[in-house]
Order: sequence, then C-alpha cells, then structure tokens
Amino acid sequence: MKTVPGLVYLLDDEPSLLVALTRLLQTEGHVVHGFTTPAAFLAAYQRDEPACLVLDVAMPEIDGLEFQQILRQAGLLVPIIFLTGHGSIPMSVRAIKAGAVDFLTKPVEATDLLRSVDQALQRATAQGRILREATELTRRLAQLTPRECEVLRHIITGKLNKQIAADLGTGEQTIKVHRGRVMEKMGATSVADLVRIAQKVGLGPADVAASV
Amino acid sequence: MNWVTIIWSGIAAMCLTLATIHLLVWNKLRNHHASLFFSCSAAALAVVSFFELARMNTQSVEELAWLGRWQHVPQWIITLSIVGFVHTYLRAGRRWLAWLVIITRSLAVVINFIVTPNLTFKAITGLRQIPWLGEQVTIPIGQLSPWLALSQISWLLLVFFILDAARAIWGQGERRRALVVGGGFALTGALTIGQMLTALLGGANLPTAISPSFLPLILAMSYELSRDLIRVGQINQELRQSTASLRESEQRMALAVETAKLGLWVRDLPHGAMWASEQWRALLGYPVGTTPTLENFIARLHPDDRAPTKEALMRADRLGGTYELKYRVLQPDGETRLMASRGRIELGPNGQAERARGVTFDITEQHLADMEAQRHRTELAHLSRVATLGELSGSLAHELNQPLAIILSNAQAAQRLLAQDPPDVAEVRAILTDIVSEDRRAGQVIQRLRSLLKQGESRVELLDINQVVNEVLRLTRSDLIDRNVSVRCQLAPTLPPVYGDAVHLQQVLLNVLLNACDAMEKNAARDRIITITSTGRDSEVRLLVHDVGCGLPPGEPEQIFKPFFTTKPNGLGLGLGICRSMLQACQGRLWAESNADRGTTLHIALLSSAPA
Repeated sequence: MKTVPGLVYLLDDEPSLLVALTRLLQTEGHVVHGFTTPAAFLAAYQRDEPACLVLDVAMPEIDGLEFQQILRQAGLLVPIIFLTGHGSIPMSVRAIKAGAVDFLTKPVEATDLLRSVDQALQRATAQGRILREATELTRRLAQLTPRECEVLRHIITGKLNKQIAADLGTGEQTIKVHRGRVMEKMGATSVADLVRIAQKVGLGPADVAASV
Repeated sequence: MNWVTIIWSGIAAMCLTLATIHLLVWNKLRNHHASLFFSCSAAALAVVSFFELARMNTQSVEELAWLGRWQHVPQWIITLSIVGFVHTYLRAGRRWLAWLVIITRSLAVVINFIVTPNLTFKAITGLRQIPWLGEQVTIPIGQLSPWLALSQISWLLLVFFILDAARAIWGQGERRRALVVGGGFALTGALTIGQMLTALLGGANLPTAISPSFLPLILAMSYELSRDLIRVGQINQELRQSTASLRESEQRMALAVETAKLGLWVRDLPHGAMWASEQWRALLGYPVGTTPTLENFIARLHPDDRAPTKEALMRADRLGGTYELKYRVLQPDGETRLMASRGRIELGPNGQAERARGVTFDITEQHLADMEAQRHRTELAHLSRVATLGELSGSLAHELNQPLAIILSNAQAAQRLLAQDPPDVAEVRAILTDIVSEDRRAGQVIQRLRSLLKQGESRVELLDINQVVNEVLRLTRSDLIDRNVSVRCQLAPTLPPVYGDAVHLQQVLLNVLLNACDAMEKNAARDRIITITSTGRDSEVRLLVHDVGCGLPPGEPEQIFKPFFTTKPNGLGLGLGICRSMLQACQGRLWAESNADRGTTLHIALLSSAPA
C-alpha cells in the first residue's frame, strides 16, 4: 500500500517520545505537529485540513479517552490513534467504539503505527471529501428560491411536471422552467442525481399525502 | 506470826527468789556478769535479813555478838557484788573509788574478826527487850566500837561511787537508768546510814537493820536487769526472725543466681587478686580446680576481645562507678559464647578503688534471638516493600516502557533514514544520542527498583528529603496519573540533610502515598489531590502528606499502626506498622492526624543534622 503523506498531530506529555515519533513519521513524508498538552493541540488544530491525532492515553491533565469525548462533543472528528503504556481490553473496546482508528501499546512497532496513521489519514481524507461535498451542496441549496425548493421536493418524489403543476396549482410550463433552474443550480444532470443530492443535504420529499 | 518475822522473812524470800532467777539467767548467759553480781548481792541480802531476824529474836549476848560478827560477811559480799554490778552493768564509776570501797569494806571485815565481840561494839553489856512493830525484839546494850566508823565510811564511799557512776551515765544520755540505779542506791544509802545512826547513836529504841533499806536497791537492780532480759528476749526474737528472713533471702538469692546462671566475682584491685563463684568459672570454661586470675581470664577470651576488654577493665578501675562489658569467651569445646558482665568499683575509706564486684552472664541465646528478630524485621520490611512495589506495577511498567518506546521509535526511524538515498546521517546521529540517553534512563529506573527490591541491612546516612520525595514521585508518576491523583509539592528549598535509610524512607513515602490514593478512590476524578509539604523545624525535618480522602477509620488514630489493622479488602495491615518501625530505627516518627475539613495528613518527622 502506497502511503499518502498527510498531517499528523501528536499529543503526549513526554517530549522525547514526541521527537522520536516525529522522526519516524517524517520518514514517510508526513507533516508532524507534536504537543505536550491538550490545550496546545486545540490551539493549533486546523479543522479544514485532513489530519489524524496520535494520542497518549495517560496524560497528567486529562485522560486520553476523556479527551476523545470532548473532541467529539466539539464536533472535531479528527481520527484518533491511541497509544498506551498498559492498555486493557475494555479500555481499547471503549476507544474503538467511540470511533478511534486503533489502540496501540507502547513500545509501538513502526509498521503498526505507520499503517494506523495511513488508515486514519484515509479516513480523514474521506471525511474531508464528504464534508466538502456536503458544504458545496448546502451552499447550492441555499441559492434556490423557496418556490424552486418546493419544486425540488416534489421532483425527488418522482412526479411528472404535470402532476407537480396540479399539486402546486400552476401551469406545467412554469414547473418545467423551475425544474430546469433547479437542475442547473444544484449541478445535477438527472432526477437520480437530484435524489442523491437531496439525501446528502438531508432534504426530505414533499408531503405525499397531499398529492393523492 | 508478827510483822517483824513477816517483813524480814518476806525480804529474805524475795531476795532469794530474785537471786535464783538471775543465777539461772547467768547460767544461760555466762558473759552476763551483771546477773551473777546481782544474784550474789540478793542472796547475801537474804542472809543478812536472816541474821537480823535471828538477832532480834536472840536471848543471849554471846549469840548476838556471834551473829553481829558473821553478819559482816554477807555485807562484804553485798558491797563487792554491788561494785561489780555497777562496774559491769553500768560500765561506769571511778576505778579508784571502787577499790577504796572494796578495801575499806574488806578491812572492816578483817578488823571485825580480830576485835571482840565485833566491829560494832567494844563490849555488849546486856540485852533489852523492846516492843517494835507489835513484837518484842531484842536489842543489844553496850559500848560502840570506834571501828564502826570504818564500816560507815565504806558505806558512804559506796554511795559516792554509785552516785558518781549514775552521774556519768546520766551524762551519756542514759537518764532513766541513772535515775533508777542512782536513785535506788541513794535511797538505800540514806536509809541505811540514817537508820544506823539513829539506832546506835541516838539511843533510840530501835534494832539496827539494813536489809529493808537495801531492798529498794535490790529492786532497782532487779528492775533494770529484768528490762534487759525482756529486751534480750525481744532481740532474740527479732534476731531469730531476721536470721530466718536472711536465710530466706539468701536462698532466694542463691536460687536467682543459680536459675539465671549468674557468675559472681570479686577483684581485689590493690593486690590484683580475684575470687569467682563456681558458676562464673563454669561460664568461662575453667577446668575444675583452677584459680582464676585476671591474666588467665583475659586468655580465655576471643583474641579480638582481649585487648579491648583489658582496656575497658582498666578504664573502669580508674574511673570508678559501674560498668558494663560484653565479650566473647572461647569454650574448651571450641564453641564461642557471648557474655555480659556488670561490675561496680567499691572505694576504700581514702577514696581509693579497693575492689570490683559484679556478675557475669551468658547472653549468647539472647543475642542470637535478637539477631533473629532483627533478621525477621528486615525480611518483613523487604516483603512489605516488594508488596508495595507490586501495587506500583503500572508505574513500573510505564517507567520502563516509556524509554523503551522512545528507543524503539527512534531506532526504527534511524533504520528508515539509513535506507534513504542519501541517508540523513546528521539526523541518525541525533537519534543515536537520544537512544543513549533513554537507555540510561531505563537503566536508572532498574537501578532504583533494584535498590528498593534489594534485601539488605538498614544503613542510616544523611539524605536530602526533597530528593527522596522526587524519587518516589518519579516512581509513582504514572500510577498517580492512572488513578487521576494529582500531587502538589510544597517543598522547602533549603532543608538540612536528615538521618535515614534512603530505601526505607522511599518505602515509607510510597506506602503513605498509596494509602492516600486509596483513601481518595471514591472522590471525583478532579477531586483527588495529595499535597506534600516539607518543613524544617529545630533539629527536625517534617514531611506532611495531606489527602482529601475518606479520612481515618473511626476510633483511635493510632490503631492504623497496629499490626493486622487494615481497611482494605486485600490488605495485610502490616504496611504502616512496618513503616513506623523503620522510621524509629533512625529516630524518626510517623503519625496520622485528621484534617480539619476532610481527609488525613500523615506526618513523617526525621532527625536532621541541624543543631537544635
């Protein structure tokens, strides 16, 4: 598997370990930022860039698993790889269930760490792409007029223009114009496209009962 | 019967009884001459009284003259006996006066037998019957002899002699005795002389009789002697009791000496001679029949102990007072026994050391038992330390894991760097430096652990208490993190070094810290705080470990130091007790106090090198 270089954050209260891990990760071309305190990490974290976090479980100020919760609650979905001196199985299960990529034991093998970092970065990239797309679609949706939005909600139920026109009480021609504008603004080429986009942005179909 | 017969017979009977009693006393106590003298005088007075009674009843001049002559013999005996009594009993009286009394009285007796009819009369011309005390008594009629004065002078000298003796013992403080004897005799003398002079010179119609007037003296003497006899009896009783109790205590002492296997000895310091009991010789392994001397005693000791023992003995002899020694003795069978010897130097009248006296006993078994107990204590401390470290396994794993993790990541990074083209040699060099330092760190952790796990003798040295605190915190760091306990240190920056065993002190602190952690187990994660404070006060340095946990169990705070007291489900209840005894070994103290709000503070006090 070819490694894709990415941004890696390290959080461990032991500076020497940060240095060693940085060196290791840099050999694979990653950009590494090391922090000894959670506060320093939070101050430096860029949420727009895909990145992962290698996190020490046992830190003086805060427990690693607790910090994971805090990040989730803050909506920071950075993929986390845990490092621990002496982890227990319940602890690792908890971490993984909460979304951690991996739970590694110190001393950590380079291959294990690098593989986990790759996975995490891929997840981050994927998450980033989804996020970007969602942002774009939301932006496009915001460009629709309320009438166009109404028409869109009817289109994704699979109705024909004539049916929509009847439902909305206008002419079929008018609906046709609206449909054309919606397709254009949302960047869709087909009704199927529109349905997928509507799903992504969380837009529900129009009230079907009213149409019967 | 009539009064004269009754009185004179009574006097005679009384005197004879007393004489018999005291003769018997003298027979038992041959050196009690006073009894013999008294007995003689009483017996003689009885004879005198018989003579007087006979004289008063006689009808012939010849008989009266004969009686008057022979009466001087018992009178002579009375005088001699009284002088003897005063001399032996009162131990007083002028010697020359005594001799003068004896000589005049003896002279009177001799003259009495030379002249006729006797000393009193030049001639007896007739007899006369006069009524006296309701009876007709005979009294002589005749011319008084001038020699009678000699008898009277003798009586007077006797009075002086006794009064002088009484005065002397009065001066010595024996007032009662002086009064009884002196008073008795004064009365007798006065009565005798007065009566005689009235009878003979005054021409009064009275018989001459001395026995009634001597009676008070005899009674006084008897009273004194009887008191003495009673006292002798009492003393005898007391003596018997004290002898019995002395024997009892001697037997007790002998039993104690025998049971305790005490060897007794005495050294005559000026002459260098020595006496020792059989037990002592047995303890030192002397062959039977050997006389102990200081030289052969020293020779029986372990070679290493010879010179020090000799020196210690000499120093003790010089300084005086009491001393205590311990030395090893080589027994004939090759065994070595440890002895303790306690001695006391006794001073002579001029303050010179005269002799040393003391006891020696075998303390080999006791010493072995002490060593065994010491060994057990060391073992127990060690076990408790191992157990405490067991509780720290998380920390220890972390402390070793951390450097190992750093080394591994560094090494693997280096491998990758070297595989690159061109290899980043400068970075690899930096990595190697880090690896070396991390390796050292791991080594130190192991070193620290090994010193804690090592089973060894306690070694008290001067320590920096803050350094000990930091060492322990380094060991416990990750455990404290795991338990969500944060430690705040308020260590005084400049403290004098303290006396202690580094390993033991770390163990104590470990124990106390882990207890504090356990006490705060039910607290919220953010509410688990240990504060360690170090302060110096006078010649003491104190370490206070303050927690905000559940506090001491109800009851005495001291109970937590008792063996097998525990509040933990799997606790042995030995930790704190062992900690306390370890601190006591270096004159330190450990105690617990409840905090005003909540939790407990453990106090560790250590002797510091600072002057008080």
